[in-house]
Amino acid sequence: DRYGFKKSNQYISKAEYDAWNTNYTQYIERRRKKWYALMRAYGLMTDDPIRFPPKSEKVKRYVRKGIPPEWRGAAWFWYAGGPGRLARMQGVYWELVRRCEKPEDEGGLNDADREHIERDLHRTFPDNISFKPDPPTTPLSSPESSPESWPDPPDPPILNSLRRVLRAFALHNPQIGYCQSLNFIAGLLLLFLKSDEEKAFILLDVITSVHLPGTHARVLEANVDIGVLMDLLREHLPAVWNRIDDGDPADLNPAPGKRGAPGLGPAQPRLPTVSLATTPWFMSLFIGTLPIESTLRVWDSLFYEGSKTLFRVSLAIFKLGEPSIRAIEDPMEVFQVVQTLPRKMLDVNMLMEACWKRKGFGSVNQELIDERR
Amino acid sequence: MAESTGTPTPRPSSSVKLVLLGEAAVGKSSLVMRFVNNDFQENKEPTIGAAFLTQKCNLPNRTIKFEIWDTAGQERFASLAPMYYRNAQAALVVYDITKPQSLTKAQHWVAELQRQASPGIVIALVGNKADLASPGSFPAPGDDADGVEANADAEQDESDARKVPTREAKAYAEEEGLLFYETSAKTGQYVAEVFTAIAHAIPESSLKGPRGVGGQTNLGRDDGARVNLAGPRETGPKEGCAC
Ligand SMILES: Nc1nc2c(ncn2[C@@H]2O[C@H](COP(=O)(O)OP(=O)(O)O)[C@@H](O)[C@H]2O)c(=O)[nH]1
Ligand SMILES: [Mg+2]
Repeated sequence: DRYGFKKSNQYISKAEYDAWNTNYTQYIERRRKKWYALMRAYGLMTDDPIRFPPKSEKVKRYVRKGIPPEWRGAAWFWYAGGPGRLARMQGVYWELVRRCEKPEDEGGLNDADREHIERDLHRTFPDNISFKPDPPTTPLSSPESSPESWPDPPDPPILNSLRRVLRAFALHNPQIGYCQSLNFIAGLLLLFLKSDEEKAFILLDVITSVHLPGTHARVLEANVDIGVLMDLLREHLPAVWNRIDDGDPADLNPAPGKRGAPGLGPAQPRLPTVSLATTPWFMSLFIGTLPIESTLRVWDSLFYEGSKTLFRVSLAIFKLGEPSIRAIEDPMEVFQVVQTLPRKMLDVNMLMEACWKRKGFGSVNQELIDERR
Repeated sequence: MAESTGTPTPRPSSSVKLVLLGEAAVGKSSLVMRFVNNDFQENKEPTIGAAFLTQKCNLPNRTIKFEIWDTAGQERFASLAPMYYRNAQAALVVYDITKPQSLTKAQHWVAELQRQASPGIVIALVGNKADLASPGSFPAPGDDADGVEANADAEQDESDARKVPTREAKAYAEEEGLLFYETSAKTGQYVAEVFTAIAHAIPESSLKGPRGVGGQTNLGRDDGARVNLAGPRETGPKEGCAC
């Protein structure tokens, strides 16, 4: 596709993709024209811009309708407050990269994180052209063998960047280190930041400290987000909740972390089995869950509006999936349905509409999310 | 996919909840993909959280529907594991035969399951990536145990990436009463056999038909504690699972 990913997969056929893409390509073109006009109105460059219009209702709407693909990375960086952070962290990234080379006892990166990063490097977007080893390497020696026997890999440049970013991040954030899923997030950042490692590093920091605090930590708090989502689901989509709620009161499963704040209602929220399917929605920011274009649109709003986006999108997925969920007869199938639902959601405009509709989840604002976490 | 292979014969069917545990990158997801889709992917993406899949397995006189929970391997995800293995009737604990460390991790999982999971849980210890071992050290069907041991002890040639001798893992499995197989998700070697063996080993009493179908008798339950080194026969099981 236009980003180097495969068009079709197990969930979306080539025909479905093509049918959607024809219209969507025109849609992108229309939005691009609007963005150009907007940029000009603010006297901003349109050729590889790094500055974007100040936040306003109008700009928010524009972002929700999608940032032009070629500006995405720059716009994410801008709206996430990247320039300010970069100024404060001048040189930090490259210093970390240098330190990573050192042994652990001299302030370098520990072996476990180093090994885990190495292990996942080649497992990051293996189907994307940018992440594939350059020429179709004739694998004389088997490339998948153990690390000891890894031939000095003819890695594509983006994998080397990814390695450095993940290592520097792990060293900089000892309470997180390397967590699986960060490879995907950092990989997608690099892809859209034209491999500017320093900026990818800073956005990774924003994501893990501002948008998903604790989610990836060594003491994993991914269940905190999920607990909040399940609460919201119960309030906003009771019909769906009733279908997925399989918790028997005996195994109330209080999530670790800051749960149990008063004012959440009488019952300690429990996590139904299905909630497990939503772990990657948060941890990977929908990479691999939603089709790539849909993921990118979510990220547009995430960097502009914050993590409430993630919760609203999640609710929208359940909302759009409500008919399928209600149609389930065998309770064992619920999980599979919920797991599969988002993977088919190619029509991101519909998803985003469901997500932002006032009468829908308008009350799911950032304050609410922050409070419930 | 799974549906297509079913015969119209109304065999009694029951579902079995199975969970996969083991260190990251040992090949859990690949084993499931081989079993469910008969497919393999180099550089399989890591699993975040967990994935859920189902696959049927036809035994001579019943159909077992596996509800498979494939989990993330990284240490920090371990805190989520109890949610997966709760009520599981079977577990596949996987290690990588080229990584001794991964067997240690597998042993921790076994211990945790024995402590915390349902009492009757059937556990299979699976050494994956057997294709990376030199042919000599791969236990061929029909080899008796001594032959295998001799081979595993033999001088390693450089194409042999095996670091965990079959004998060692097997001895451990025997001691703990686990099923034991060495598999390759890449070639498909013994993958179906693992699942078939598990299906056979589930005690009747713990089989609950998904729609109230009671258990049939006939299948030996004593399989449960026996170590099955090599699968019953060549790959491509005749009765075996739908793959
Ligand atoms: N050679 C070989 N490689 C394998 C085998 N099974 C998995 N792999 C590779 O090992 C890596 C990890 O596999 P994956 O299934 O994701 O492991 P998981 O993290 O345990 O789920 C991937 O690159 C696979 O392609 C196998 O049987 N033989
Ligand atoms: Mg996996």
